[in-house]
Amino acid sequence: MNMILREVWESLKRRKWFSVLIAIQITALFFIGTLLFLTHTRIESKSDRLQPLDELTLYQLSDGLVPDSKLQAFLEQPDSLDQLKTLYQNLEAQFEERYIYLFNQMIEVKLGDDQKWDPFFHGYEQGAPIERLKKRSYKPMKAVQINEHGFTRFSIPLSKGAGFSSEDFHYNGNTIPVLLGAKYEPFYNVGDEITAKYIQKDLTLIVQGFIQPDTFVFNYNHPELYLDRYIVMPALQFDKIPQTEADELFQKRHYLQLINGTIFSDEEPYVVRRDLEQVKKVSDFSDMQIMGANSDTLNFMFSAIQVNKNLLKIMAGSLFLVCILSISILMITKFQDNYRNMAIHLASGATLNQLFSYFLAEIFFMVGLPGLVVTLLYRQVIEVSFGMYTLMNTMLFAVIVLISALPLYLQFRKLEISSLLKRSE
Amino acid sequence: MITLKDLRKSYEVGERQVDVLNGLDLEIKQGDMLAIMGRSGSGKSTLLNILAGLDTADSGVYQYKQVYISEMNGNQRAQFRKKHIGFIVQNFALIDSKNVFENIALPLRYSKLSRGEIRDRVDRVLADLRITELQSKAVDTLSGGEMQRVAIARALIQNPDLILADEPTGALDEQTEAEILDIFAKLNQQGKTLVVVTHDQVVADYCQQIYYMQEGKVAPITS
Ligand SMILES: Nc1ncnc2c1ncn2[C@@H]1O[C@H](COP(=O)(O)OP(=O)(O)OP(=O)(O)O)[C@@H](O)[C@H]1O
Ligand SMILES: [Mg+2]
Repeated sequence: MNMILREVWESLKRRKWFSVLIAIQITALFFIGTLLFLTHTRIESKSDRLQPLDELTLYQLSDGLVPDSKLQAFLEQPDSLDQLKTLYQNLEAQFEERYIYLFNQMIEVKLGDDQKWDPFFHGYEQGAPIERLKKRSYKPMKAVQINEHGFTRFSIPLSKGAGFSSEDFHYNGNTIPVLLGAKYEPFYNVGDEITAKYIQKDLTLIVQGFIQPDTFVFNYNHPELYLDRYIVMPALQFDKIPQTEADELFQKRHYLQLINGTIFSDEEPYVVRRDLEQVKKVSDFSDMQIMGANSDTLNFMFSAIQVNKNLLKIMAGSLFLVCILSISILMITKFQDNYRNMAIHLASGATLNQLFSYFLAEIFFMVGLPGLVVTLLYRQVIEVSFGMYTLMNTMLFAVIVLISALPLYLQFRKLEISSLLKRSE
Repeated sequence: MITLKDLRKSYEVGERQVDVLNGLDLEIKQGDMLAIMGRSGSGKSTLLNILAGLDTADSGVYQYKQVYISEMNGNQRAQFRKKHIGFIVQNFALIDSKNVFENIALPLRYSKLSRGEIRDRVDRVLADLRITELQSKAVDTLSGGEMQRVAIARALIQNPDLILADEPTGALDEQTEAEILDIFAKLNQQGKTLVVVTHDQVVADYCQQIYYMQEGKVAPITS
């Protein structure tokens, strides 16, 4: 082993710049491979699951209850809760599966002071004051609320447990079923209870299942919302009249959010607007408008990635060939340069297999080192589907080594020691 | 010590077959110092390579003490070379990317020896050949005579019984040639068996026996 390292090192020094050039090529190849891998894994999950939603235009609804004084006045009206509930029900009735409510609102969860929770904190990526938040007994965790239509249309894939049933979207008075993102899997089991507060109301969450890694959903505001670190809650319907004033306020705030959903539609914009006007009229609620329409949140991403993907494929393919060619050429050149040295090694007691192993080790090193660096970097920075990624890189590594060692192997096969000694003279 | 019987080796060169060894017989006794002469292309190097276990004959018997080298496979021959043969390749073959010490230590790298043992053995050989001060030099800074001493040192490092030298003095001046020949004579006095391929009558005269190679066979010259 020691001997192999020594020989590889000497050999690398012999054609230094060529070797460096090859290492750079290989790094670039692994890099492009990484991009391809990423776009591929993401496109796969998108195309299968979300392609149906891709063609649609997103109309974001917004209540007009601003500024605060106007909102306050509305909330103080005795029938405001009824109004909100009616509006919500009419939105669902009118638009049916086109009305999707997907809201990103944190939930406070009672947790110990363990830094493993940090990445789950609401605003973790945006630089929330983690240390301060940690001191609270209820920690603000990332969560999304989703209505039944949203849940079915996004068809969120689970790795464990069961999805939401229709009843789960109606509040039963004590517990709320939730689905947890994949990163929660090590810390909870299906059936576990979690003590939480949602809009200042005490609740018990029941873990009903876990979402597959790298699952994302989207709405008007979030082109890609990866659920791995999220708690997914059903957007609840309250069938019973609130008993206390606090309860009433909670329900009002909750329904105020529910009505700010998104219409996913392939109809003409005027049809959507007309239907919305209809809903406003029958619900006797006028402070509501379409905030904006967006027809290419996903569309745009799809086509952009698609174009890049083809380009990447061409680049990866040609770089692959260039890498294999240059390694083969370098190795054959070194093989010929080294006739004399190889004869000396043989006379010193080496076998041909040992000599071949030096060349092979050099190829291993030249391909393996950049591969290892890129893989480690990937683990540090991206981490998505690391197992698959490592497998892909290992295969790429093996294929490059095998193919580029082949010409050299053939040279060794037909090598006669006498000619080696002959040429060494 | 060595018996060669009816060795044959030929090469296909295009359509033609060239018989390099053609029923060669040779007997070498322990402690012999042997010169092999012959025209260029007569097969001297081929014979030496077969003796070294680097190359094989197409047919015939090569017996070294009790063992039949001609029956061995490549790995066994590598073991044999390592243990018993000191080979001085034509034109002071040294590896440029290694310094003097590493060139001499090379055969030891193929044996399982500790750093200390390698150090000791190389030191001893360096001292024997009086080239201790060269040990950390790069080989391309050496003179021809120095290079040949280093090559001899490498051939001696495993303390082999049989030393094979292919044109060891071909490119050296008379003075240096004499020094190298002195080294060979000393080795022979210590009991080593030497086979030296040479074109040079001066070198041949140093040896007890001189063989002439011709038509794929060797025959002794009696002067
Ligand atoms: N690998 C080979 N393929 C074809 N012919 C070979 C091969 N090796 C040696 N020969 C031929 O075998 C013959 C003997 O070669 P060898 O090297 O043994 O001669 P030599 O006596 O050592 O010559 P020199 O004094 O020039 O070193 C030559 O004709 C040579 O061309
Ligand atoms: Mg020769």
